[in-house]
Amino acid sequence: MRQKKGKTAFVVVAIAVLAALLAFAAIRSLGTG
Amino acid sequence: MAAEGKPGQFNLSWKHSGTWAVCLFVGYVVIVVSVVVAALLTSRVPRGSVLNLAYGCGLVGFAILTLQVVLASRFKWLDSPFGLDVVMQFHSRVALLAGVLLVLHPILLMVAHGNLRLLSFQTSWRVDVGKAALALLVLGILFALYFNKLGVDYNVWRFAHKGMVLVVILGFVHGLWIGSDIQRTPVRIYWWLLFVVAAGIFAYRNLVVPLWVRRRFTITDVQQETHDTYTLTFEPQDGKPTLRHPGQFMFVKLLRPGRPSELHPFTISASPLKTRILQATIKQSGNFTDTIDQTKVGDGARIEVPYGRFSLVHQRCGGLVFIAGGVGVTPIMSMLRYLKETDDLRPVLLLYGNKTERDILFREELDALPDHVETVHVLSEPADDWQGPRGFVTRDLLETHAASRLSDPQTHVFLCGPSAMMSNVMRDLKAMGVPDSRVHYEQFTL
Repeated sequence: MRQKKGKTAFVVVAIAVLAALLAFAAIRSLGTG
Repeated sequence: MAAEGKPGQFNLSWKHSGTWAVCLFVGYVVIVVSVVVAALLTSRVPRGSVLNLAYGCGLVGFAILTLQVVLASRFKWLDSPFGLDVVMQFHSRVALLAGVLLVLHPILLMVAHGNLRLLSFQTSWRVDVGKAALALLVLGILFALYFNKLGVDYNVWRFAHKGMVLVVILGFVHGLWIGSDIQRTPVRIYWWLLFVVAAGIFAYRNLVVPLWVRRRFTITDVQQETHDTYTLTFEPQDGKPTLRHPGQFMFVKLLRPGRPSELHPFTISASPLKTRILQATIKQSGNFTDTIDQTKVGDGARIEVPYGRFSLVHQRCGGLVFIAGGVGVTPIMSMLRYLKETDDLRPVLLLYGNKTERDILFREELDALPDHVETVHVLSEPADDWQGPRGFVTRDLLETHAASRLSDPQTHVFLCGPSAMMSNVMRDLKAMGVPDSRVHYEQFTL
């Protein structure tokens, strides 16, 4: 169970990182950031 | 932890709580993504989206890489809520994520600039530092993934892996001198803070802990358990008790004259109520453990203790099914001893697999356990006159000896043994409808 939660935690981090990067690139290339 | 004089009472601290685990996880995500938030808040100049993505990959990749130092530092406040095995598995996975981001960083830069200038040898030293960091990082990740297959000694790998801190230093210098976002104050402060914290933790783990934090013990007994397994008993030189849960483990550095000292994790086989001693039951199964029989009473040891969440104290269970293979019985022995000493009468089944009869550890003690503990020995290479089950802990064996217990939603399973056995048993338990929430194990894969 702990190990499954560990895997889920990694997936959440990966999604958060991807979302943050895409948002960062999109917002700044529009000149609003 | 067990308070002395109050056997069997464990007051789990806030560090073991789910709330603390969530706080740590959210904190980790916030630290990682806040670098791009800081960059967003300070930059007003629009740039191409690929170029921004390239910068973002570099910033976030470095943040993850720096936090690896924290994850690898075996802090009790990280071990208590998650277990060190889960922390190290997370450490391995996010290393790959950081690797991908940091490899993408120069690739996206070249795409954005429309040239391959970064691949030439005529780049500035600031770029060269980044290239060196990236090359080291890729080599380090490949080495970590394949050192086992390459047959590299564990301690060589451990030493080389510590060298990965060089990647953090080079990455820090590269970003500080060339990163356009890092020239702006908020991001620069973040960059420095992250680096200083990581450097401080690295120094703490590698200088302060070995010299001052790791406690000194003396070996007071060396007991041969079977033909290839020995139990070492340690007593603290400071005389202070060692509070711990049954099933936890410790990091031990044996100090034996004329022998190299190496740090190794060992399960504590003694009951946690014996707070004045620690015991490790060690099988001769490698370069280091092969010499365990040469350990003598009076030898010293430096020990970090306790670690791990493989313990019945974290579960509310009515019954217990312990499944062990070989020397994997040691954490379970600690739990059995604890149950006995606290007059805990919950029904217990131990399925214990070994090759031969002479490999069975703690045989007499297991036979003398009270009636509410049923022990089933299964041997894969038994003598002709062996009366018990033969083979491995298979689904058939589980159906025969544990089906009714496993169908009880209050019964929890604790599993410890060779990784192949653990995988097979977990598969069988799943097929029998035992939910993951009732199956507990600790798995270290390097």
